[in-house]
Amino acid sequence: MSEFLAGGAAMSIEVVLFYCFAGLALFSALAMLLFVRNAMAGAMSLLLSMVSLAGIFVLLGAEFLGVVQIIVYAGAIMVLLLFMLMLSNLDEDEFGPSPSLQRIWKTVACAVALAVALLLGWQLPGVLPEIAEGAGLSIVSEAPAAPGRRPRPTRCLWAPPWVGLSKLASYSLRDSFCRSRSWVCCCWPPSSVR
Amino acid sequence: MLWIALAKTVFILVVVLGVLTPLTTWIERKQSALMQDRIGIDRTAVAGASLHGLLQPMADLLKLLFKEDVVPTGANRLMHLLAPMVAVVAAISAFAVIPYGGRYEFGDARLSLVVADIDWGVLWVLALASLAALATVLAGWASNNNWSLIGGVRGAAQMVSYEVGMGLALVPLIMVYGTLRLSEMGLAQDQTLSPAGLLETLGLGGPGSWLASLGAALSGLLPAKVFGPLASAVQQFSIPAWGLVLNPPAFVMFLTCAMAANRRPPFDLSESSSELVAGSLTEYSGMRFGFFYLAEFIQVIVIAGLVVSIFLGGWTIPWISQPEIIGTVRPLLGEGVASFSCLVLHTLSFFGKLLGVIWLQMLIRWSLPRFRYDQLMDLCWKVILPASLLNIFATAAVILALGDRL
Repeated sequence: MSEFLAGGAAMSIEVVLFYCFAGLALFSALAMLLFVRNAMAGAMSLLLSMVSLAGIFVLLGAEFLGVVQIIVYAGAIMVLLLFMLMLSNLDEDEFGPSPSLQRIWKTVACAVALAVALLLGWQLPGVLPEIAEGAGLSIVSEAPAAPGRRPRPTRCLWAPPWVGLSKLASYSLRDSFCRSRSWVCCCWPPSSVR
Repeated sequence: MLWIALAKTVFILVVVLGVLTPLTTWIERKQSALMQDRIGIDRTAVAGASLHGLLQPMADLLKLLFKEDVVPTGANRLMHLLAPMVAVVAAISAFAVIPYGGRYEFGDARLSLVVADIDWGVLWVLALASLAALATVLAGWASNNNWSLIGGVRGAAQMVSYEVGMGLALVPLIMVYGTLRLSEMGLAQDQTLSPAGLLETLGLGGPGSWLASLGAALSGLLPAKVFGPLASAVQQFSIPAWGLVLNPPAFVMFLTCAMAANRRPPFDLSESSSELVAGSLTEYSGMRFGFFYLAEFIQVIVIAGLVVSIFLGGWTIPWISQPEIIGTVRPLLGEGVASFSCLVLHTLSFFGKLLGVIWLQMLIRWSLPRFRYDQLMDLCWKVILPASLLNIFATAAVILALGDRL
């Protein structure tokens, strides 16, 4: 946690651009999957996702890959896809009713909760004991290991809360759109989390 | 450094949007008037001065800004708004990589007159051209109009086809220059080709060759007063090493494909006013229509910039290279003035050539009638594509044969 708050990396223009592109790529990919009930808008968010990926490639120094990403995917393949959509005259009804505002908010909130839970689970076990020591507390109560067995790592002390939290978030995330996307329920969240 | 980059960006935006685009519309209308024996625009005047109609673009802009912005019933509002923006952004971003001057040294500081001197500049322009196709598709689809839809489909097919030809037409030049960086292509053209020297390099000139015996025969026929200057003129004759000289077929093919990808007449199948009302632009009005119009004219300037950079020597001045200018001016006025005068001359040379190519495009646009759709597709897939592939093979063979002798 401390490295996130205090001694973080300097916000150079590359870092800012990276977060912009990464956020756009994730947002547009999720939007295509979850919210969009219109084939054309879905195609556009796919396009946005591809262009932001190209931006990330360029930031990573793979300029050729980035430009080819745009020429091939955003240019040729997207235009073919759009041809298909233009000539097929899809109705919005075929995609089911568009999600209610409430459900969209629920989904976003759950996704954020999941991300926070995962982040905390990643960072807390290492950081909390330090904080506790700094406050003069000793919260690490290691029971002496049974003969012939390894001592339980301290990490486990903090594991149950975040596992529970992330499970809760992922279940509610799943429930929030399982009515419209049955296949999502079958394959997500992965069984290990369930 | 940031300041210099910012200044270069602002400069090119101001020049393109504020000077070149209005000037391009003016050239188009005056050229058409000239070719149709009319007077053309000359009515917009400030304080009685019409300046041959040069103020007309400003009046056009005002009119477009104040016209009602209509979104047709049943149209997709967001996409309808997005399409013109995509068109303009895709068009103007190409100027990031087009150099309007070379590299200059002021003491320790170095200045290169291009916004982004990236080594994949040509690819960047091609990528933007492929994004421009999306604007047409979006406009056609979002307007909820059959004319628009047909125009969008036509335009997309046309642009995707001609992008292939555009890329392939440039491959020989990329092979010759050995770089994708437009500023290095310009530097490579800042020299001259001497036919006599070329023949000597190839082992065709020199004593004992058929050229030498031809010279001997001529010296017998002509009086010495004529032959002496003639022989030295032939010896010293040189041409600028421009892409146009190195590979003329690529120039013709690239210009054709680029103009077709821009979908202006005679390639305006997606707008074709006699069949589709206005094609994908039918339902656009006010400044949204203005954006499409703007994108079209910016594209004309981009094409001209590319043609100048790759085929017409970029910012260089024919027969006078940068070291020669600096070598002449430096003893008189010093290093800084020499570099600065070089910079000014080169920039003027670039924009002069740019205007020339813009005028050439207007000449073509007003000379030819519109293609039929099958003719358009035949031209791309049955003529330009095989011809550009042949050109690639021929250029590769020449490079292979000459090897390191050039």
